[in-house]
Amino acid sequence: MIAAVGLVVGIVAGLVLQPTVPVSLQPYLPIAVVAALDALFGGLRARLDGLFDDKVFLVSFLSNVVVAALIVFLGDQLGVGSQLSTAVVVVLGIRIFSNAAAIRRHIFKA
Amino acid sequence: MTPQRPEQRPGVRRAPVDASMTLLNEVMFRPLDPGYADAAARRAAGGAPPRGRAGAVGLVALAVVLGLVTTAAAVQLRAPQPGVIAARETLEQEILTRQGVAEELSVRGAALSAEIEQLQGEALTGASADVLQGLQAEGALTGTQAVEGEGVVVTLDDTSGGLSSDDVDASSLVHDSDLQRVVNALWAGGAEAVAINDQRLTGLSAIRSAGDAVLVDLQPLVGPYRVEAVGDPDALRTSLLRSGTSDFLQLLGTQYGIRSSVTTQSRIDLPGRSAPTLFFAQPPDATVDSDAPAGTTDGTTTDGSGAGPDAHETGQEIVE
Repeated sequence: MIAAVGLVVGIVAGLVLQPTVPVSLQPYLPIAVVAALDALFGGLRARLDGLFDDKVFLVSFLSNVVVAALIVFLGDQLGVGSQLSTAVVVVLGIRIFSNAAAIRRHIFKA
Repeated sequence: MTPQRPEQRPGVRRAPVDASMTLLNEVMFRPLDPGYADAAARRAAGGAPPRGRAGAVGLVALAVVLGLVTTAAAVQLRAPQPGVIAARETLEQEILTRQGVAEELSVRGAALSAEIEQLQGEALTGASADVLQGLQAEGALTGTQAVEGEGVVVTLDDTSGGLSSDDVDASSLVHDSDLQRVVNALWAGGAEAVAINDQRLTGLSAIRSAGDAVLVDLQPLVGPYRVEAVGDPDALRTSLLRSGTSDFLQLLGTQYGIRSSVTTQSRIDLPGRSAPTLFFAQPPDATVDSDAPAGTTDGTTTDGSGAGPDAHETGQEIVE
C-alpha cells in the first residue's frame, strides 16, 4: 500500500513541479512510459489476485523502465533503435493487454 | 517426463513439452511477474520477516521517485504539441509580415524609379536631342526603360490542361535551356528588348532552373511561358528559323508535348525594371593613385554585357 501512496505523491509532485527531462534522455521517454504502464497493470492485477507486494511492484517497475530504456539505447548504438523499440512495445503491449484482460475478469467476472 | 505443475513444486526446474515456445508462453499466458507469486508463497510460508522501518522508507522513496520520473516523462511527451503549433503560427505570422514588407518595398522601389526617371527628364530638358536619344537607347538596352513596338511573341506551354498531378514527367516540362535557346535566337535576330512573362531581361539576367521551376533573375515563373521580343519581326522570325530554334520547338512539341507558337504582334509593351546594381572596381588602398576617382565614375556605366553596340543601329520606339 505504501508503494501506491508513494507513487501518487510522486505523480502529484511531478505535475506540480513540472521537472524537465534532459534532452539526451528524451528518445527513451516513450518506451519508459510504456514500461511503467506495464508495471502498473501488473501491480493492479497482482492486487486483484491477492498477491500484491510493495517491494516486488516497485522493483519490477524500476527494472522495467531501466531495461526498456537500456534496450532502446543499445539499439540506437547498433543502428536498430527503431526496430528494437517496436519489439519492446509489442512485448509490453501484449503483456498490458493480457493483464488488462485479467483485471477485467476480476472486476466484471466476465 | 512427468507432467507436473510448477506451482506444486516451486523451485524445481521442469522440462515442458513446449520448451521451444517458452518465450511466447511467457508473454502470452503468464504476463504477471512471477515475483508476486514467489513473494506470496514466502508470505504464506511465514518465512518473510516483517519489513523494518528503513525498508519501508526506502520503498516509499523509490515509489515517489518513480512516480515523479514517470510523470515528468509523460508531461514532457505531451508538451511539444502546443509548442510546435505556436512555433508554426509564429512562422506563418512572420512570413505574412515579411511578405507585406517586401510588397511595400517593391511599391516604394517602383515609385522611386519613377521619380528618378522624372528627375532625369527634368534635368535633361536643356540637353541636346542626341544626348536624350542616347540615354533612351541605353535605357532600353539595360532594361530600365519601358519599351513598346512591334515584335514577336514565342509561347511555350507545358501545362497539362490545368490538372496538376504529382507525377508529372520532368521531361515534359519547359526547361531553362529551352527558354535560353529561344531568347538567344531572338537576341541574335536583333531584338531590342526581351521579356519572359513580363520579366524584362537585361544584360545581367540569368535564366536558370531550380528543381522543376524556371527562374528568371531568381524569380520563379509558371507556364505557359511568353517570350516577348521587340524588334523587326521579319528579322526575328528569320533568326528563329535559321538558328534551328523553330525545329527545336517542333521537336519539343512532338517529343514531349510542349505546345509552342510564334506570332507577330504589331504592338508589344514591355515593362522596364528598376535600375540594376552598379558594379565598379576600386583599386586596393596600397596602390591608390591619382586617377582612382576617375576609375569609379567610369565604372558606373558598367552594365554592358549582352547586346551592346549594335542596338543603336536598329530603329526603336521608346515610351516616353
